Amino acid sequence: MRCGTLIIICAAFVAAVAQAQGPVSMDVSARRVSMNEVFHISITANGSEISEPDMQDVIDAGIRLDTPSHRSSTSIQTIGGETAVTQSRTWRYPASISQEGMVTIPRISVTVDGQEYFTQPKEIEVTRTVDMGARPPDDTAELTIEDLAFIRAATDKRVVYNGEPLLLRLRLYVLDQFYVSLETPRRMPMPETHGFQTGQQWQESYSEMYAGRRYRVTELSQVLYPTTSGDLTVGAWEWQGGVRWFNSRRQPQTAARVFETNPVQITVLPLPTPRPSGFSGAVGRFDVDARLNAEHLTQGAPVRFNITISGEGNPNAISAPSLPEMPWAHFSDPEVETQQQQNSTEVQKHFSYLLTPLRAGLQEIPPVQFLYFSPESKEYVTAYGPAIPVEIQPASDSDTFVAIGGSAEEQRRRIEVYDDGLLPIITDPQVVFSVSTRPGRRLGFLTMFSPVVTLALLIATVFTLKHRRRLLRDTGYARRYYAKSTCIKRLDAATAAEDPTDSLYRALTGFIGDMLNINEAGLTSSEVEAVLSEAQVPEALRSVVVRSLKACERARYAGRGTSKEEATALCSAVRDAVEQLHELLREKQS
Amino acid sequence: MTVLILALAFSSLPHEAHTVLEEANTAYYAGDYALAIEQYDQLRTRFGVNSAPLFFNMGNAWRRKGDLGRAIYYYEAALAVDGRYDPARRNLQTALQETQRNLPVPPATAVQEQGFLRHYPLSPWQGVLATHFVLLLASLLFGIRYWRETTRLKWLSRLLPVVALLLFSFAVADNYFSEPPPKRAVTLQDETPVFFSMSELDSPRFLLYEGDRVLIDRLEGDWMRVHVHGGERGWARRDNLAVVDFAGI
Repeated sequence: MRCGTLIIICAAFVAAVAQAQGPVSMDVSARRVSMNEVFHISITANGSEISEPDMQDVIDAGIRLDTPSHRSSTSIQTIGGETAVTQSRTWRYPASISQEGMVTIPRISVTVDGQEYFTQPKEIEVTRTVDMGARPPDDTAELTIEDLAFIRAATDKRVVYNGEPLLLRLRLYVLDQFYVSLETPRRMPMPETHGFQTGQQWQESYSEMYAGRRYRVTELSQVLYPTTSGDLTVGAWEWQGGVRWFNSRRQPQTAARVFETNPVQITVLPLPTPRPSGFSGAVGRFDVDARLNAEHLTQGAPVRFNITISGEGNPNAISAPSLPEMPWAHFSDPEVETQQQQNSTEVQKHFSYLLTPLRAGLQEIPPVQFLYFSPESKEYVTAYGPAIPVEIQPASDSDTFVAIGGSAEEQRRRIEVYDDGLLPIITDPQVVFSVSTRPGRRLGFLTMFSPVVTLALLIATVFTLKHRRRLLRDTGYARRYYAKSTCIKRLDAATAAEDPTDSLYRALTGFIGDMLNINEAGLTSSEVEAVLSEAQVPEALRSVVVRSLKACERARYAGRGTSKEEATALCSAVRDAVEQLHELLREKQS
Repeated sequence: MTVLILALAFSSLPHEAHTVLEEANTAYYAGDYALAIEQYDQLRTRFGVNSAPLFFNMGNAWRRKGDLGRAIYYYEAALAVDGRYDPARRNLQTALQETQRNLPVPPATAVQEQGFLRHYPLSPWQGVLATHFVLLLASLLFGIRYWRETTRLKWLSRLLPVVALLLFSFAVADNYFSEPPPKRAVTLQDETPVFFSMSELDSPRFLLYEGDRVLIDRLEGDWMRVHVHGGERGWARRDNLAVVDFAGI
């Protein structure tokens, strides 16, 4: 009976506790942490309507909290036609404790569905030292987590003039023992620098002794130029990282930490007034150098004139120096190039002018002046470049730049075309009024068909040479080719001969012998008839030829002279016969 | 003869033309580029001067006046008149550096739509010269074979006339059947929209910027079809571009 009563009392207590804690719970990521080590407090609540947890008691307990991450999920259930919506929310607070000893995280209040619930309090042991790896026997000094890695921020000056360069150094120390390493954000955040213009930034790594221990130091340097006078602040350098080391049992340990420096106060003094004319805003320390890139100058031939301003100061505040008056020369606008020295506040700004000498003779480029404010001497200072004597040779072709006449201003206008690389206009009327004949894409008829002429000449040459070679080599062809002309000559000669019938006979038989490529010597009229018959000469023409030959034979053997009329008639008949035979036999031969 | 024709043409210009040129040059050097342009234009319209140096001067004047599009247009015109006029080419390159994109001109083959002749590498003039050359070779070869009385290289002596005939045929075809090269146009406005069709109700396909050079292949009313580098094409309003046409300048 007594035992049953005890059980009922215990159950009622558990139920009461459960009712008080209800749907809210809390957990911590570690029960034993080092001072300032980041751990996480997770609070979970379930219900339909859940309020934000009240963390004021936790903060009052000396626990530092950071912005929490938040996660929630919602489930919807429908049972018997009724729909129930349940929500689950979890808050995860980064937390750290800066006091040693046992620290209790008080109960945290969360209101769920209009009723207030509390989490269970939890205790955490906070130790000042960290358990490090194997240490030498003489190294008994205690190490806190802050000794493993820490950061510092400093500037090289606390009081500067407006525009004066200021170097902000951010140092990150990591203990060079016990395999300590540091996990940093991928992109390291930089402090807020309102009121400053940022300049060059660089990073260096080196080793340094600090408080008797060796540290690996990473130093970030940032050049700042104040843009307004008054009290300015370089904000705190703050970021979260993870420190890793090995404990005495060679187990890897990791502790999250928030690294933070104090803000740096800077007093910015205004520049003295009144400001001299020609002051471009450059503050610092500067030198001026001026050089010509050519030793020998020629009238009208441009050369480079380079001015370099170097020193410590804001390069954006360095404007082009004022050039002294030089009526003997024309200067283009400068090409500007800025060079920043690596890992230094030193800067060089180059101004490159195109100088065109307008007059020949001995001249001088006066010293170039540059006005700036020197914080060291607290006054405006003018820096001077060297004076450069130059000897200018007269131009060889005087019609290009300098023989134009008129004032120097007009000459400047004439050559200003070089300022932007534009070639000058053409002024020569002969050139401007020249007739431009644009070659057309299409060719004229004669040009187009000129190869036909060449081809015709080629063909004619080929045929001529081939014909000539055949005449030399082919006797029959040659006899046939010359047969008619030879015969005509002989006929012409026959009419004037003493015995024309004999000449006519020889001319005719010679012609037939040449045409048929046979030996004409001793040919009789009957043999000629046989030969012509064999050559398929028509009967009518054959009989004319034979009758002519027989007439000649009769006259020759009769022993009497032939009258001129008879000779002429015979010659005419022979000529006709030769013409017809030539046509006929040429056709047959071809 | 050519020298004589040029001399006659030059001497035929009245003295007034010389005066106008001097006034234009003076206005240019005095910084009055609007007057210089007007005077140069008079030389073109009143006296019919269409020379590359005149267009080059007009390009310079427009450039100094700050109108980059027209400067590029006149440099292109100078090169259209005389493709070897180097001052115009150099100033054109300088001006193109200042355009938004320095857009190259698309190749003419991107616009011309012929079949084989589009890829034939020789111009008609080169084809005719090549025909002459091959015929000359054939003559030389025949001469050598004739005088040395050899039958070697007979195949070559037959091949060369065939080659000459082919070259000549292609030259004739290219000369009479090929299209004239497409004309260039230069964008004059800061931004010129190019549309898919001849309607400004469409959303523009892309934009042309001042000084961009394009090829045109069709003119329809107030519209022209432009081809740009990269293969894009579309329709743009004619008043936004100037066509580089030797005859029409």
